[in-house]
Amino acid sequence: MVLIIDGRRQRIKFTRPLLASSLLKLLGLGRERALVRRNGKLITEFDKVSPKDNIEVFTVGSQG
Amino acid sequence: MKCSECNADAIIYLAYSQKFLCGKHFSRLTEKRAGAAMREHAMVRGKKRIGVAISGGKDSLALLYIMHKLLGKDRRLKLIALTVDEGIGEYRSESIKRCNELCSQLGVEHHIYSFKDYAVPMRTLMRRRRTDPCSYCGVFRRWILNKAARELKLDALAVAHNLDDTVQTFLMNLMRNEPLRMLRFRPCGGISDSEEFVPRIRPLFAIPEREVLAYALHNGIKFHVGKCPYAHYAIRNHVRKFVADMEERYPGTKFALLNSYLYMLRSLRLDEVPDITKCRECGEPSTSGVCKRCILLSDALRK
Repeated sequence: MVLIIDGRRQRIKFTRPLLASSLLKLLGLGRERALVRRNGKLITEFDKVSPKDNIEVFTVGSQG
Repeated sequence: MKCSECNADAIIYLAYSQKFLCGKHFSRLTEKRAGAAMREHAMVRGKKRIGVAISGGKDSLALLYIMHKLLGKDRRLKLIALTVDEGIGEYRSESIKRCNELCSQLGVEHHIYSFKDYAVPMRTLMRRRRTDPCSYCGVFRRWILNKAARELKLDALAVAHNLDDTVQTFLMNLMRNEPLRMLRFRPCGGISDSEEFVPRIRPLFAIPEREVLAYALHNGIKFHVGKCPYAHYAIRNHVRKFVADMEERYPGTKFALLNSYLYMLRSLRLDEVPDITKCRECGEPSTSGVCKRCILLSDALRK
């Protein structure tokens, strides 16, 4: 699936729903270093994301 | 997950306080913290014209948004936004657009100052000198902001330094054995109380960067997403990674560092800072005969 990290599209392999924290881990990001937005709404790292969702990741320290 | 205060969906988990918060309660907490910082450190008391330095990034636009929300209704007080255009190609032109958008939305007066009018654009500078660009950029930007703030007769200039910036700078000052520089990063004021320096205020100094980002996203603040093309040169990146790793392992580390910083700040005295004189070249305040900006500028222009 394709997700958006800091405004850039990135392809990532995941087929089943998983915790946002696991997704961040897959991307090599820690809990403190990113936020996840699912279908336009911010979610916590304990919420699940599925491949069908529209996912955006914002990393801390890379904007402004 | 549900909010710890109400039954709405949580948008963020704060590990250091073990709380899940929904958008409403999280925004309220962030604004309360910024308001408390302004009150406790007398950031706006008795001031009539307050400048807000905005770059188009999430921190500065969130700062302008919060200050406008908290102080916008006070008719005795005027908020004025200032932007410095360093001349870093598309990176800055995009972010200036975001500044203009928010300022028009909030009805805040906005002034833009360009490096090319006061110094040398960063692109030209980087073509001439392959050195740490952040040193040039930081010095020139501070010089322009101070000069502009004085010309606009501002009583204070708000800058968007957040908790992460504060603790990173604190650690960097320790690492470089420059304890007096900690005074420069005070929540309210600067390295000197000289009238030539417009005092800086930092309402976001106790708000973690991740929370400033969440606040901007939740409140629909359109900010520029992008990294300065020269940012990889900075030592700060290593310190940032270290602090983030520590916070992840031991939640609350950043606040502990902030409290240590504030404690140490009380024992530093302004009279230990060298006297402020005027720069022989530009007439701006300086701790030596020629200010850092003029030294760097002549170095950059040397063939």
